Amino acid sequence: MSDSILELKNISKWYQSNPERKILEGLDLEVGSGERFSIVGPSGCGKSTLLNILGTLDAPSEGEVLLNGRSTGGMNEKTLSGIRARTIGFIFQMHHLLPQCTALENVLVPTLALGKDVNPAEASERAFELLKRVGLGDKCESTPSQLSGGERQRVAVVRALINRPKLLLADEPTGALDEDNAHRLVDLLVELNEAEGLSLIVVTHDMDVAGRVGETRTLKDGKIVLVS
Amino acid sequence: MNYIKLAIRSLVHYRWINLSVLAGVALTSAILSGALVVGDSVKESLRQNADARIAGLGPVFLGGERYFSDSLATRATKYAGTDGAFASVIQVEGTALNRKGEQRANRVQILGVDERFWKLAPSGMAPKGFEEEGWIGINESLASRIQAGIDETLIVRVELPGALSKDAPLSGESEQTTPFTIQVSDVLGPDYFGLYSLRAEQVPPSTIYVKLSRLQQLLEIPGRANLILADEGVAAEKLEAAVNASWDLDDLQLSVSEIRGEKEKQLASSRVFFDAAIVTALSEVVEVASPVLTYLATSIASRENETPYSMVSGVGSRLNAIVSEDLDEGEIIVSDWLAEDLGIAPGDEVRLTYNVVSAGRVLEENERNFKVAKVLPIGEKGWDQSWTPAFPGIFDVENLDEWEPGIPIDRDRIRDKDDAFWDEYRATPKAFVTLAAAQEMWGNRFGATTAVRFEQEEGGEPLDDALRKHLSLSDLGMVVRDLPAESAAAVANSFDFGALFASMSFFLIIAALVLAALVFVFGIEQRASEIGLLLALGLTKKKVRGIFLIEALFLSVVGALLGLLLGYVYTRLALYGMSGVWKEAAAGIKFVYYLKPETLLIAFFSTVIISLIVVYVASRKVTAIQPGFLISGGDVVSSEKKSKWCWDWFSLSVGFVGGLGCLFVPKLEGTMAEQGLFFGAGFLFTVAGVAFCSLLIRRFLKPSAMMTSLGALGRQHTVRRRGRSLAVIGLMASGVFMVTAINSFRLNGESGAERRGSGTGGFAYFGESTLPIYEDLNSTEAREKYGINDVEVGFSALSFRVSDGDDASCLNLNRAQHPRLLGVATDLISEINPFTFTKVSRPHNSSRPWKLLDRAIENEKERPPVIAGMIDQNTATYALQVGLGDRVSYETVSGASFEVEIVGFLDTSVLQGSLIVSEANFIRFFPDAGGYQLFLLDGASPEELEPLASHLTRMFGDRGLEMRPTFQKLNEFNAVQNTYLSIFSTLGGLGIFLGTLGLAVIVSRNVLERQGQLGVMQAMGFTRKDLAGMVLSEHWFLHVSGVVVGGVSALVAVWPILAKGLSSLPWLLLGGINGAVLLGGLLFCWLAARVVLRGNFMEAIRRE
Repeated sequence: MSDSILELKNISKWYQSNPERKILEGLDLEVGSGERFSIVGPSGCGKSTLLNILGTLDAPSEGEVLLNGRSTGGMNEKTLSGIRARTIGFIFQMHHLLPQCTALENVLVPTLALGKDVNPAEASERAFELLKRVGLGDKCESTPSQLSGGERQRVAVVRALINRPKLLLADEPTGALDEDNAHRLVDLLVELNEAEGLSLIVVTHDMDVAGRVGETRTLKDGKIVLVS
Repeated sequence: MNYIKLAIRSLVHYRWINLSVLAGVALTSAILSGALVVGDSVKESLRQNADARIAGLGPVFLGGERYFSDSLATRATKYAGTDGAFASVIQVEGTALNRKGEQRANRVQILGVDERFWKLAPSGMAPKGFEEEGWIGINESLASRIQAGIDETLIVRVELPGALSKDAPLSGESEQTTPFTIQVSDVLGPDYFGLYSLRAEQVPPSTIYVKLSRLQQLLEIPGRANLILADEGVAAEKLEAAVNASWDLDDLQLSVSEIRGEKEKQLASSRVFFDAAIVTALSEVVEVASPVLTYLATSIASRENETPYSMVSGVGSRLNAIVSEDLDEGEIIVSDWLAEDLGIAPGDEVRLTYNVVSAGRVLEENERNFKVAKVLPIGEKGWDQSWTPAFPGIFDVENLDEWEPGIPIDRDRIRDKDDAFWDEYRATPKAFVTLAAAQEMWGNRFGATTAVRFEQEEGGEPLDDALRKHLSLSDLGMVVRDLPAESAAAVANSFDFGALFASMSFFLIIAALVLAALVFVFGIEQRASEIGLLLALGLTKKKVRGIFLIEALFLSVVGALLGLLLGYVYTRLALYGMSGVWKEAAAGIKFVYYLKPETLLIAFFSTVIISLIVVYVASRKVTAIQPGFLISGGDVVSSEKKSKWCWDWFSLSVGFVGGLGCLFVPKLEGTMAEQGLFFGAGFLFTVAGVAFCSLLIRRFLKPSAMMTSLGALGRQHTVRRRGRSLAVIGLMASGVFMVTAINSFRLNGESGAERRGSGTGGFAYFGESTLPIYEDLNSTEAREKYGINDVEVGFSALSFRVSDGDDASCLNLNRAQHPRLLGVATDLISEINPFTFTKVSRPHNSSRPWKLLDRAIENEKERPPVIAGMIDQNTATYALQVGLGDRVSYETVSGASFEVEIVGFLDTSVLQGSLIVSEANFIRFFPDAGGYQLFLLDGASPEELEPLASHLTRMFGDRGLEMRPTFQKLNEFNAVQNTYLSIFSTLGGLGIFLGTLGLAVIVSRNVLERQGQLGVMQAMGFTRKDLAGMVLSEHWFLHVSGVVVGGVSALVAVWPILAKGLSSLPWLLLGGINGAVLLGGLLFCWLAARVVLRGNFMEAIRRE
């Protein structure tokens, strides 16, 4: 395996409202560069929680998260935001596209986080190319209300890629799609992993999706218990 | 893609919410700008009122108590080189009666004017017909007051200006007031000085214009005037220099006569007594000056004989051959006539008896013994009538029978030989004493000299020219006032209506802001997942807040600008209200709309800044939440801390017990304390009521096996959002309570009016006269003279001397430049001890705080003298803005300054608008101001004293005396505060009404939050109507609870007023406000529920 870009060490997570219930307990996980796997588990086992911790959207109650060898524990909000902007791409179950923006504009929203480091013209061109790549070249000016469910989710995928992340995190990305669109989406993600060399983690309860992704890791009782 | 573009997109996409926010911001801006522009408009109205009042006039020269030559204006014009810029005027005060309708007007200013006066008017010329003999003009205000028009006949009464004050000794018994009948030729408007007044007050004066020559004739002062008006282009310094350089002896009512050839002369005054400043100035310009004081002795007696009514002169040893240096103070030189009459010789003792006049024209008889030093022949060596000044009623009569010297004359004592003496020697003194002895006996506040004999070199500088170098007219109380500057100062420092309206609109502004904030927060919470997404994508919290701030900035700026336009409507409505239903707050003013650009800028930027702060706080709250939580659609309303039930019981107990305590604590009726306790009780009951509702809501928490109704299910939701629910109840309750209960502070002068400590001081009647009444109404002489004893009702009168000055009460919106002074006998008022003091200087006798008026205040070196004064708290705080220990500056009649140090505050009293000082101090600084003009009658109830009041009004009608029950006068002042309370209630009520719109927002939000639930219930078989009923019962419960708690508590607070009768409260207004709030809330809830419940619940379920 190539160099690890993300490592979780002895991660535990519980919530203040119910400290006895440990959602994650002593979990270790390593994500190598270009690696691809899915995380499965029963409903309520903490998959989304794990993904949020992986994506620095949430902090663990115990343990350490290392990103490119650096612990995120002492990082401030600005640094973490920068990491998310440059290193991690998110795809959610609900596309969460901004209803007031077009498909192209939605794709470009993450570039706002890069500030002066981005060339607007180049970013626009890249966005357009990516949309074309996923078959939405002619839908650049459409708003989310004018797109189908599958199309919206593909826009969300492209949005996650615009800043050239090293890691793509997808939380139940096919949850709102029909079977056909779901397969197409997963195939797209896999293709991107192979073509772009970015690491991909897909959280899902759908074994079919997990199978398409490849390696599957099972989350149970707060730990990764099985790798297949 | 950039932030601006994203913000614009969001603004357009969420346009309905944004329009609501815009409306809220616009409303805030409208109210704030509208209120502030009310202030601008009132100030401008006052300024225009002041401009109309002084109508292009510049400085004025006031003669004080003197009448100078009307040609002084011409001489001053020549000196100043300003052709036609000065006008001589006579200005006196009097009363006017419309003969036809019997309407009377007191405090009428009567102006004697000529062509020069009209040149200064805005019209620039005299009214048509002015050249006609007998022309008379009245102004519109007087015409309206006594319903008089052209050709109407009026009877006018004025006080004849005597040579000296009626309070002065030997002032003469001449007719005190004189009536004259006039026929109105013209009614004059502002262009013809129709609003002219020297007082900084907004109520237009009543004025009669008479031709100068005619008024001079009527007042028996030919060729005289007491006022010079100057054009606005003339500087005050120029006028002062011009009059100081132009006056002559005649202007000061002085005359010079030769005594012995051209060298020895005598300076005399038609005012009889001399100002000390003149004597001092004369001493500096002549080689030798010898003052003289001549007086009337009612008796000169030896052991066996007595000579009645004789003049006696006090003289120094110089410039006469009668009194020598060796004459002792206890010695007297008698004429041979007197020696023969009394049968005395040098060495014998004689007794001099004479009267002096104390306050209230009370005569005191004094005596002094002298030893006869010499007997000299009368009529020789300068022993003649020239020693005696022109005492009115004495000097100018033919025989002793016609004497009216101002003291009682027993004509039975006058013998034939006395008549013979008069025929031969007239007013020649019969004896001489030293000047020192004379001044000790007869020196008074009007002067201690009746003539000055002096020696002047032949061919030397004319006396006027010489005196001018040593005597300034201001030393004699003849002063120049810079009218435009005073007027500008009065307006500039006037009551700040802008701030008042802004503070009264407080509820309205808060309601609008809360509404805007509520909707904005609602919008942010709806976009919580969007916020979570942006954070997840790597935007920092600061950048995410920045996007919302850009949106908010746009909404704030546009809303604020829109509000500035709407503010015009608010201002217009407010000015309309102040001209109509609220006119007591600003009587006498014609309002104009006026705005200053800087006011709009203040309102604009304040609105924008406040709105941005609200948005910043709201967005900060949401962006602090973990992005993952936001994305997953978690409830962004921070989990409400579960407060313990014991706090509710604690609040309920404290509120209820505290409220009862306030109700049952003993209290004095009609006092502020009573009002405060009832208000406090109401407030505590509000707290208890809200706590009770909280306990009631908790009760809904108890699990029940039986869900008895949809309403019960709905009320369960109030538990889930307990904080929000209590906020609705609390806001409604406090709003309704405040708006209604504030009326508990309405003032009613009649309540407790008989108490000494009340605002009436326990006095039954309050009287004011236009012209002074010189007699002491408590004296036997006065009661007999005016038939007061015939009325057969016991009473006593507390009389006040009144200085000319501005009204500093709440009835005058202008800042009083020269507040009126009242002088009262300290012993008398201290004995009665009326009114209540809110604060007094220490140390003081706590049972007799009025004694502080006699307190000697240490003067700093070279500072003006300082005396003690009391003032009404309201006058001090709002009109003059002075505190305890502060000093107010005044000028004496001699032009010197003095200060009044505030040593005590009176609680809302009938004496507001003036500073009160001791009578002794008043006389000290205003010796020429004789008589009393303000009276408080004591002794019985107003009903019992009514016949007396009517009698006094009849007796002193020619002096313009007006008597009315004291509580009525107090209610005139109270009306201003009560009007402010009505304004507050109205604006506050509008604010709460606006708040019910917020309730509609809450309803919408609550329904939208539960769309999934409602969808499931619809799937179960409940109809939309069922669901609407459930939602409405929940919210109506909150709304009605709040209104009921607030309303009941408010009733407690206003109970003392209710007990007096329903008419004491503005029932229509309060009923309207509370009714609108109650019904409005119910209606808006229903509308909101109706709109939102039209939504597609199934879609909501699917989304969940």
